Amino acid sequence: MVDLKNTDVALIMGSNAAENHPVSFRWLDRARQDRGAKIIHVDPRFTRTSAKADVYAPLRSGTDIAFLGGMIKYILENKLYHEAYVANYTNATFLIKEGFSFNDGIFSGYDPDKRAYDVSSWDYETDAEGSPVKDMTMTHPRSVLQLLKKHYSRYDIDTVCSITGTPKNKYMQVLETFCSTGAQDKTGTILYAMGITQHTVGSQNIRAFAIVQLLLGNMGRPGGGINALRGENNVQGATDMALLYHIIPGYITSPSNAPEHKDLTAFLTKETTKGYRSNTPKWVTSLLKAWWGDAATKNNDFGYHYLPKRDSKKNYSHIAMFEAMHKGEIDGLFVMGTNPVVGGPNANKEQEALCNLKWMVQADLWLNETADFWTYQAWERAVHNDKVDRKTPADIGTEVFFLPACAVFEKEGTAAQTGRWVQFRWKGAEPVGDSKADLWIVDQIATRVRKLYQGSTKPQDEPIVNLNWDYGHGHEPDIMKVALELNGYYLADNKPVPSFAKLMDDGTTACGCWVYCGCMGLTPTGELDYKPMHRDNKDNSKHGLGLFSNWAWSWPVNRRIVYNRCSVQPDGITPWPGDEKRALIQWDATAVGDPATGKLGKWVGDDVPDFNVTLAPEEPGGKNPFIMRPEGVGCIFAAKTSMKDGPFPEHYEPWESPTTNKINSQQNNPCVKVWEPDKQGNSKDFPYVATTYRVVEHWQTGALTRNLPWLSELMPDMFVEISEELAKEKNIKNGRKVIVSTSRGDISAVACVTKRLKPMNINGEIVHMVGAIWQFGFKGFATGDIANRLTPHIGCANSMCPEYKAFLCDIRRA
Amino acid sequence: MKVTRRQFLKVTGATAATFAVVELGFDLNATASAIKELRTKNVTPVPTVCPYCASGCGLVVYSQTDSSGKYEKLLSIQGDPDNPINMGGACSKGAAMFNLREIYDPHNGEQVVNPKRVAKPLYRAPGSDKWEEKDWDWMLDEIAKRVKETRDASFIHKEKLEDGTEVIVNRTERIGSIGGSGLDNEECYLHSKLMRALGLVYLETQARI
Repeated sequence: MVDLKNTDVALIMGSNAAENHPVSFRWLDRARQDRGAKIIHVDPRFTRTSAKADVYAPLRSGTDIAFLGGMIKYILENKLYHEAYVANYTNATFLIKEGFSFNDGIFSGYDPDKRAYDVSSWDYETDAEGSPVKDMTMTHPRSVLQLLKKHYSRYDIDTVCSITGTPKNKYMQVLETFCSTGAQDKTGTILYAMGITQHTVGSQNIRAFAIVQLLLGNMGRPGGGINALRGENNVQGATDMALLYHIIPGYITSPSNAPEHKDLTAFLTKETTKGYRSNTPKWVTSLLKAWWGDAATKNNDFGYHYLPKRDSKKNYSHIAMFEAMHKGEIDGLFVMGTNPVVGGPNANKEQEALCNLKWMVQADLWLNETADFWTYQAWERAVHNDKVDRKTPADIGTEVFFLPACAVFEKEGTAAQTGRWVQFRWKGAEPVGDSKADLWIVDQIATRVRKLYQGSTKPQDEPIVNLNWDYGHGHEPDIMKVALELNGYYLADNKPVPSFAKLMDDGTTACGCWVYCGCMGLTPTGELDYKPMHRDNKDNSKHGLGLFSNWAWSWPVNRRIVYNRCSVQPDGITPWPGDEKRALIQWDATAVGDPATGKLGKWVGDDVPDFNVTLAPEEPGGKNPFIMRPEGVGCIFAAKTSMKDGPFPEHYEPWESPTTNKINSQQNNPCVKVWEPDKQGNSKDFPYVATTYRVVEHWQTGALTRNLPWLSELMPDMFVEISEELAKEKNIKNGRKVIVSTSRGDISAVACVTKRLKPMNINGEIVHMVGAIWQFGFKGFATGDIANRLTPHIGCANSMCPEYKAFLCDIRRA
Repeated sequence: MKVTRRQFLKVTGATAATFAVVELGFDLNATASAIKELRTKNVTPVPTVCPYCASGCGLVVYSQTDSSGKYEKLLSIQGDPDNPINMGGACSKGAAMFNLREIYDPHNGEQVVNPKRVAKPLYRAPGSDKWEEKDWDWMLDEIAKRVKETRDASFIHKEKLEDGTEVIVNRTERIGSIGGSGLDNEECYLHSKLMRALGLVYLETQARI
């Protein structure tokens, strides 16, 4: 967050940062004042962020790849890329083997029946030793740079603007301003939020950012990067801890019933790749030791079989879970501080799905809309619609257990913010009534379930019977015991493991999440030292870059800027010309690297090197800054299994779109899973592009804000925004009630007629937009209709993130 | 005299130009001297981090304590000036965090616990149209029973793979879990560990959506 002050140009795209992450503007303003930085905002709607920007360009929701594809073409055509960076730190020089092709929206290897690719042709040409063949001149027709040039040759400015609806002069201004950061002494940063990810091409939108930033040499340098402005205070931490079906803690693929996962050896062979991930066996073994302690031995694969193995052919993501629940395939559900009746896509369907559960356990501060899904109030609807289910409490057999959780400052623990700083929060008030910390709740459920299984000798009960679960014997679980396990400890003496490099695969270390290894140290007197508690706020960097390395702790190993090997030239010694102050680390050939052998040479600097500290620049791999990648360099071409839907991002229209795809003849992303083909709205019945968003006064589903009098007073009612032109056409007056409908449901809301939205010219046709706040529901002090009753059950081909941000609707006076 | 925030705004708004004693009904000078001492004076601030967006702004909590040091009620929650991310600033949500626990009663201006906070475990029986208060022991034991029943009835211990070999899969597809992004790391970790030990594969958090 603080690093934003080091930038020369900030591109904010798919985010209303000024409103939803206000503190970002403290640092963007600082960059503007101190460095003359420019701020660009690209968004369908003119927002508070646009008002604070130097350049604002509108685009039709769901056309980001067209917008960025044109930028890639512009960079390449005008040679604005950072050539030395591109040649050394990316795979632009790599040759792709013969057989790779792209034709009219489809890459080589597509199987239309499976709606999936055989990705074997998306691979590097290799030499006899298996190393990728490179052309340092980047002129070979099969070099990644030339393939990139060819791919985006179709994205000329006129075509792009006819797809996105962006006025050409505005588009040019964005291109000129942001691409100026390809200069060696400049860096540019990208900030995004859900406006980018919540699309059927969400992951490829991010890939397009990655290509732009690699071309301009903006990764791994202060004031650069691609910054996800995450929306929940510990969504980063929840992801680190793998509350997601496809991973186990530390971003390791979760086991499945595929033959290559059938035992620990097979699993480690499959999941251990070159580069830093070669340490995967140490991380997995240490995780198993943390979870099953003495019961995890070499003889039983360290308890590998205790981990559940998912069906490799099934998807278990949010949408898939609710589809299964709707079909009656799920009996029990835990709901931990979330609210799908407001926040889930296709909220009518998700609410119906909850009725098919036998039981639901919910922990929250408030009775939100999900807790009360069975009440009369929950089934009231704006208008009568035969296609939408209506129930009464008597129809609903779900047993609901509501567990009152206490507020953030009524307990203690850590949260990882959007830049991976893990900060401790102390307890500053007592829990309200009998409310409890979630830590206590989870510990209690675990203890009581384990009691029921006590003495069982069934093999299928071993994961529970043998579970290593002991967090103290007091009334509350001992948080330091949890933190020590998260960090990792030596089995021999229970002392914290100092860093993940020291974890072992022989069962002598236990570690709950390797990326957190190093967060626990020892004080000089031998007490546990939980580093997220550190509060030394002196900036330790020489040139005031704002690293604040002694404030809290950031993963991995307290590194503040990842890929920081990129902040110096390949020789490791020379900063980028004119950019001496932003060099984060440097190779010092005279410093003692290894005290044991006295070998000279190590990486030193303001930040913790994101590199093997004793690997000299001239040694093999010494110039490869992206250590988590097997290639060691940034991927302009996403080889093999990296992406499901193509090695380069390609524009496809949103699942519901007012127009046909102008750049290829594939209307939608050919790899998305279609859950409800009969619910695809068409532009005849639903002529307007709809999107959803948030306001500064409310947070997510509103549970933590619409229950507060002060915030309810500030933003009391649900509204939808439309342009003056559409209002005139539909005879809608500002402040009056309207009905918005899609093929999935209807809502009523106050119309906000505004200049912030403008009709767009999409390939010669006028397209109108409707914007809806999705943060209202029927509970709390401030209530309003649920916008997600409108949104579709369809997700990104890679991540299954729902396409909340672009769908079709109709609007009329109430 | 108790003045609610709404009434205070109304009064000060109407008389902002003059601040006349007659119109306010009390002497502002006397009030000003009485509140010269901030109520947070001599109270140790307790650092926390904002529970809303993920920027990571720091806030400090000032609470009144009894003689044994136990917290009684909130005095103030405000931006943490030491936190390098926000340096004391707070947006409208952060500035309203006080309301997460306590509010001023709109009728009499008294500082009370936010009535929307749930203070007791609640149970809703199948087909019922109301919540019933229950104690923690009953709730947790019933939940443990439901978990075991569902798990045992649906558990897949072994499965035949494509290549014909049999392998232990230890999963249930009839229990799911969502949420966690508003929980602390330590809580997420324990939840992740427990759910996987039970065999859950439908395990998701807000990061997905």
